[in-house]
Amino acid sequence: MNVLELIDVSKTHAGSPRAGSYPRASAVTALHSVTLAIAHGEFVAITGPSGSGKSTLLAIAGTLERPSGGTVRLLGQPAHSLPDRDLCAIRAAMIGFVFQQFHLVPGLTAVDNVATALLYRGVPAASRRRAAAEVLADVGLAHRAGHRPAELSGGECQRVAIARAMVGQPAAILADEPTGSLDTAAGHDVIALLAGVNGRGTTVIVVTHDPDVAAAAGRVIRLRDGRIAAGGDAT
Amino acid sequence: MKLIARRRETTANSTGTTEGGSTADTANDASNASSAAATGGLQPSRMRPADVWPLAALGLATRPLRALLSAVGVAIGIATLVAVLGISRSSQAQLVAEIDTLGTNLLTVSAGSDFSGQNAALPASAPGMIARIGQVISAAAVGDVSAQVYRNDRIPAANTEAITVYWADTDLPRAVQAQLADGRFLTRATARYPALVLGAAAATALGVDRADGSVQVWLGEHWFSVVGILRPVALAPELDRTALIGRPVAHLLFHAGAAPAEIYVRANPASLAAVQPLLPYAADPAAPQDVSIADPADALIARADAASAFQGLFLALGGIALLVGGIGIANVMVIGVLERQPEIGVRRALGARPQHIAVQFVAEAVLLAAAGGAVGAVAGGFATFVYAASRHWDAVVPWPVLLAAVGIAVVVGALAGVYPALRAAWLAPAEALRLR
Repeated sequence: MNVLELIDVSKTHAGSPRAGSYPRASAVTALHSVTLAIAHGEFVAITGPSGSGKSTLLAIAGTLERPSGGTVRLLGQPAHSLPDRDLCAIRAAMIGFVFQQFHLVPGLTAVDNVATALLYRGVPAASRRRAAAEVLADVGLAHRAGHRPAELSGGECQRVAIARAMVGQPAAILADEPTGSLDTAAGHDVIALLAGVNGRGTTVIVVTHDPDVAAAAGRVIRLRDGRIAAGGDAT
Repeated sequence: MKLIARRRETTANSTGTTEGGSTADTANDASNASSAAATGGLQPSRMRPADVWPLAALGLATRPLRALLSAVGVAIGIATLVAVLGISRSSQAQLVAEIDTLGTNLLTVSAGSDFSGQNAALPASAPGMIARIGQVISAAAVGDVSAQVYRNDRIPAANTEAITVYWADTDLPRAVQAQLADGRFLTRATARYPALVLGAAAATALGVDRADGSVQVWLGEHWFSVVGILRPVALAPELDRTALIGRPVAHLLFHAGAAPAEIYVRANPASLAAVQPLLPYAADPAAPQDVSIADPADALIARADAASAFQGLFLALGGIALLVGGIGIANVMVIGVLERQPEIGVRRALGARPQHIAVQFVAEAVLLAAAGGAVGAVAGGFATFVYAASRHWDAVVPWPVLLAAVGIAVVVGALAGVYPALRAAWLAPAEALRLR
């Protein structure tokens, strides 16, 4: 069974109606009938030049965005047609996200940032923090649990963000350029961490420019101009 | 599939740990049962009510200075409302207490207008007739004297200082409970000679500060000795700007008539209501309809109520401050939503539903306004105490006003938070996370 199946998925962004953009941006097609399947336990890198639709693909795979056309099956669910309420439930329970800019909440300590991942599952605060402390120890940051993002290095921030993605024990972790803001050494730590998570059975899908990430992945999907250039079929 | 099975176990566990949670959660679960079936037994995402306020406090604590400044407007508005209500309550309480000590059993009888609209006159017999009513303790009259009083004979005739000259019965102080600042009131002896008693304001206007008989003033082409100066008369403030001379001397020197202009009647407090309707018939049996009766205590309270018309103006100002404060909060919240797009996006990515985001931002606005309101209520109460203390009043700050003030602040905060919260809730997750 596949974690993710995209069948003939396309995405067109409407022209920006925002004031100040003149001439008005015309509609942009980010994805043209993309079809791909990712099986359980895969470590997949999605690469391609800027503007090739990588981030859009990740947003659609993570139910943050709806496709303009086509079918998205996520863990067997028809994600393209479910109501928003169910998509939220899927994100809360089954998907972890990692972003290039970490996107940690500045006012929260590392352990509370990780615990936030369980906030929308109705887990009581004490249980949230206990689970978060365990996962933070797994990523080697037990000693930084009480520090705020501003007091952490970029690499540490990204490890906190990965811990946040892991704490809910999701079926899949989706990462958008996770090493994009890091130096090489910190980047390697992050790659090793993602590989470790993948080794324990979690599907990992990474959008990246980084050849080191692509090298660590089991499969590389190349996008060009919103179309799959290579690697679309499950191995 | 194994992963999903594990996922279900975890969900079941987490449900176990929330046992005894709020009933709202349970209701939520029930209403989502159908969609849970559609998503293969997925728990819909939910947030515990207990998590709302810590989340809101976090948002404010991240930008404390901004929170402080945006709460100031609401604090000022609430402080104004509380202080205005507190001060006016205190002043009314003070007035009522004063009137109570003076007694509310004073009535004044004066001539009204007759049928043709002319000013009627009371008969000279009126004071004596009124004094004969059983429950009347004392009745004293004052009457017009066609003369003006000046400090000396060099003052131009036009400089009257608006002082009225009356003849007065010798028991006037007893009827109106007037007290003398200096000297003594007219007696049966001094009422026959050129002696006079000045009201408090009249004495100040003429520059007379002692009443040992050594000071003389120029009254209607005669020198009169000042034998007494009254303290301000609370129940008959019209006496404060008068010069009072004896009835015999007024008749002798100025041919003043015996018809009283005003009769002050002190009645038995328990029988006041019974005495009042009798007064017109006693004062002027021939034309009782031309007699007008007034209750100065009522008049004073009515005047205090009229003064509280200004209170309405101040309350309106406080309301405007509150409105501006609410707009300020809304403004700051809108900016906060723009700045915190990534946070909103992450929360959506972590499974937050739009209403969770909305609740978070409304709670922030409510918390902000409630904090401002609480500070404002304390400040307004403090202002009331300071003002009352400066006037030697007992401060009255009604608890319902304080509670209502904080309640109003909460409502203002909730209204101010609605628009920013909706903007935050409607933000597309992919856009908030810059994934487009």
